Amino acid sequence: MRIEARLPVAATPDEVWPVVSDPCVIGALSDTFLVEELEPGSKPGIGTRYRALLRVGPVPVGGNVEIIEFNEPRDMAWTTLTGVDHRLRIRVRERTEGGTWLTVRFAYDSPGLLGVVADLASFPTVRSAIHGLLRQMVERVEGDHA
Amino acid sequence: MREVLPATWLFVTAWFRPDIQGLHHIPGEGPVLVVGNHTGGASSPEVHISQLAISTYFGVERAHYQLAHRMVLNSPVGALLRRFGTVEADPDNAAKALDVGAIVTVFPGGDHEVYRPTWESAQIDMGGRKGFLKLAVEKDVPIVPMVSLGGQETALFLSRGEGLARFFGIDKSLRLKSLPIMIALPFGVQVGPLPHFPLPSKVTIRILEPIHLRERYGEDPDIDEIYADLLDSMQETLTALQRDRRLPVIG
Repeated sequence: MRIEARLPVAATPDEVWPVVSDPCVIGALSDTFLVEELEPGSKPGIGTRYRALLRVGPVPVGGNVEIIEFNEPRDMAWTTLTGVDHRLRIRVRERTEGGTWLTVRFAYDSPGLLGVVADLASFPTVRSAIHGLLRQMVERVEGDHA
Repeated sequence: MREVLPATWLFVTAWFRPDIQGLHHIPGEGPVLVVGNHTGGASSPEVHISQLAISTYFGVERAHYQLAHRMVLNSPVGALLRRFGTVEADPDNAAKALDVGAIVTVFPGGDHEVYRPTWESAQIDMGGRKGFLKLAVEKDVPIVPMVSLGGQETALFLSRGEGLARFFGIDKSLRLKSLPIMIALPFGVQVGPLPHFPLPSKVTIRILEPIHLRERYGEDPDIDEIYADLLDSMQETLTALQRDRRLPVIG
């Protein structure tokens, strides 16, 4: 399953980046995302690992993730090392008319035919969580720079 | 297990509408003994729900074993249960699992507790079994109490049938202390520890904070004292869960 959500932000990419590039900040923005550091005190960057869970159903789902792309102030992506396979990518792009396009992409796959059924069943909840996360990111950035 | 987990979790979630609280109390690494009250006869929904929930929460990489009666593992679903980490309830098996840093879930009440009458649903009754505590002390591993409610409403359990079990001698030959009598799907009145088709009863599971036995009870803990305290805290939690439950089955 793949979900993409995009919104304009009334701020520059440099102003957007601190909010969207740190997984712990992302976790603090939303009740549906739970993120904690695996190595306390580590800074976000390629190779930094976190425990990232998404509330879907009665139990948060996810696992340990590692940042695999960290391109300041443009792209941050993580992928799972353990737990339920998923990938999260955040794109920050300057708008020609001013401001920034903020894009969140989330992909997840469960193995097997029955896994596809499970993925389809969870899709509305996950899509809603991703769109909610994007809105919260935008509100946070615009609130900080109002 | 990685392949089967999403679909089984989906099915269990849809059927039992589980409400699982406090999973974060289970340590993310290292050996731990999760101690649960047993419900729901042979279908034991809390066993499957807790297994799937723990694997979903920590990922299948976190080793997790559950101890079950030999008869369960010899049943037609035994092969599937083994894939999910179910092993025979035996102190040596539990010790080996703890030695490799796994989560081990045990339901000390076993057949005694699992077949208690439905109207005793909100009672913890482990039948005085304390072997798991001796193991926890010996291995110096934390205990995490896990309290569940709802499984006893998947059928109408009428009696444990302990007298019947003694009469037929299966308490000695099969290590089964109960020959339960219940009304369940699909056969109606059912005698014996047979599987039944569970009603879609809402199952609530609350996981309590870990208990570090030597920190709380000293270097030479008294097993009877730990047992009494553990049952008290689990009973208090179960009573609170029962108080919050509005209707049987529906939850």
